[in-house]
Amino acid sequence: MMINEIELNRIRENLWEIPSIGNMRVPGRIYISENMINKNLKTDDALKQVMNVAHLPGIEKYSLAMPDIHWGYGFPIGGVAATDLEEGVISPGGVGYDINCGVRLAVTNLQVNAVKKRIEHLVSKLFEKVPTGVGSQGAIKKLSKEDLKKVLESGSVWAAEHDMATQGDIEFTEESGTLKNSNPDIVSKRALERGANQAGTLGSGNHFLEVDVVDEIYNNKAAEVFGLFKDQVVVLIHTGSRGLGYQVCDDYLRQMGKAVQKYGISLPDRQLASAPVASPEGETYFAAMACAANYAWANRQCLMHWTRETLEKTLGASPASLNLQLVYDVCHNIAKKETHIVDGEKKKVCVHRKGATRAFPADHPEVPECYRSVGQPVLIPGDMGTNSYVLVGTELAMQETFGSTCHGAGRVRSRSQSKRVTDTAKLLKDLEKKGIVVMARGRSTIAEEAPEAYKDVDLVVEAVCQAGIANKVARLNPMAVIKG
Amino acid sequence: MTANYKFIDHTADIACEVSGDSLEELFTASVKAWRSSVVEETKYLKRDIKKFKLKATSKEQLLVDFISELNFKLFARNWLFNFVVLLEIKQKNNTWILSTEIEGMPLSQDVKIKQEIKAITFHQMNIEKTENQYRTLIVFDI
Repeated sequence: MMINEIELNRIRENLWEIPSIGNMRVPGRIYISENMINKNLKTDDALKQVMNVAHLPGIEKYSLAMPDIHWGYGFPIGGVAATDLEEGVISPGGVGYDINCGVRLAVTNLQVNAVKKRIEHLVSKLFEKVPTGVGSQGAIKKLSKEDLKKVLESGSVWAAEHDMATQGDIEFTEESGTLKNSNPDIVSKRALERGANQAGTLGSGNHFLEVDVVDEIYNNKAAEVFGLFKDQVVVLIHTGSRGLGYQVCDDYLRQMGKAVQKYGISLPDRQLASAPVASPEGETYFAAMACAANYAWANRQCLMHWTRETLEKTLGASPASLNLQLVYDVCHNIAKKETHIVDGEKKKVCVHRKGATRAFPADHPEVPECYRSVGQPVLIPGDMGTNSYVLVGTELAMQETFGSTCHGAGRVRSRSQSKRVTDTAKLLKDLEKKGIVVMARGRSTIAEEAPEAYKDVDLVVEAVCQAGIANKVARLNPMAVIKG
Repeated sequence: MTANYKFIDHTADIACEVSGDSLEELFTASVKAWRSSVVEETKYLKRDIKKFKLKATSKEQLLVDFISELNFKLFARNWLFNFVVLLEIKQKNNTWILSTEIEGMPLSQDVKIKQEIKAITFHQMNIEKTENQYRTLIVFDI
């Protein structure tokens, strides 16, 4: 079929290919249903961006995209690209401004009935304790230069050293909450300034903290291994590296612009500016990006720590009876050096995931030991009125997508359009009827984040599961949502 | 003087078409568009002048740098730009130079911030001169 004058050939159900044309080095491949193509892909240039990414020097196999694909900068959101470590490039546009934006899921011992009647009180206490909104500042005092550097070096481990993380929290965070090879000395003064007073903040936009209930189990074995059961109260946190990450991306896009000229790299879009992975510019960006990734892990860890404290205090539960435990923390905006099979051989590559989640299968050494029998948990947040999902990684994802799958619902409606057409009072009433309490700093955020602004997360999850690049474990329903 | 800006729908972020009779007017329209995206209309409560110079290798980079500077002052230093007092843009060999004097004020509780802009992007930015008008699209990542 042709979409916006781009040829899309069906490979199998929910997998489509854009042939390599012109200076594309590899074909593009998109995991998506035909229905979603017709509904969502005709209105923006996301497919063109899949083709643009295929121009990156050293790109391996395919320029990939997930069903939550939409227009981004350089890369589409939902894009995945792996590049050769010697011949290939690293691109800040393949990571995005919110470096290590990600999601964490924590379970409790509580059943829905124990919380339902107190949910409004609970959410107002969480709203008091968790700093939210534009330019929100941390509940921890402004970090000293030394402390900030430690955050950038050690991520979640910094939180553990300040009694804000347990050993389990570290173990169940991707990369154990610390991306190696970070170097705080090359992070700009401006980035440090933006980060100094935002550690431990949720921020605004699509970031949230939710209290959810497990309403469906699809895979009993994996659910049991992850500690999930029906009617269980769980917490989902979605945020990233705040102003520090935005500034790191901004700083290095500028430097990569110069590197493109220096190394004679020809690209169809300035936002794809990149440098060879092995060049001084590439290595420096990776080290700065790792700092922002570590900041994001510390950030989500602090938020979970205050959530744990607030739940214990508000519900009068002891730490043992609440037993709030991290299931997993995944990042969905990152570049990582990982080992994959390319042309039948094991090879280390630089995997860019921009709005895509790592989805490693059972027996993979990077998966925490106690999850290795089933695979890595994959967390897919929906919008505030619908479901979120816990999935698990698969062997097919390892073979086809560099161990990656989707990251969320993906927007379909602009924020301004959403504000224009959403009746916020009616939306809040509708959510209340569904038993969902929403608290936000600004009413405009609620309108911008209305469920209709997003693709149907059920269809996104169905597409990746039918394509075999993740499997369903459990579905979560929101009870309370805190937005910035 | 026809410095102007108009917001257009963009799936994930904020897109704005800006125009002006000169580069200076285009840049002025751009920072006005940025300001109206981040704060509700507010009285200019306290006058505070800042002067600075920026250098870049292209007009587009200079525009991104100019708006980014104001974005940084707001979200890192709690200082809100109100309007341009003086603005001059020159090209010297391969370098574009911007000299400006702007007026603004420290943030106070009277200022209502609408949303945080993460960054000013190069997405679809291309400063073109057509029929004596400079035009470009700017996309803010939010």
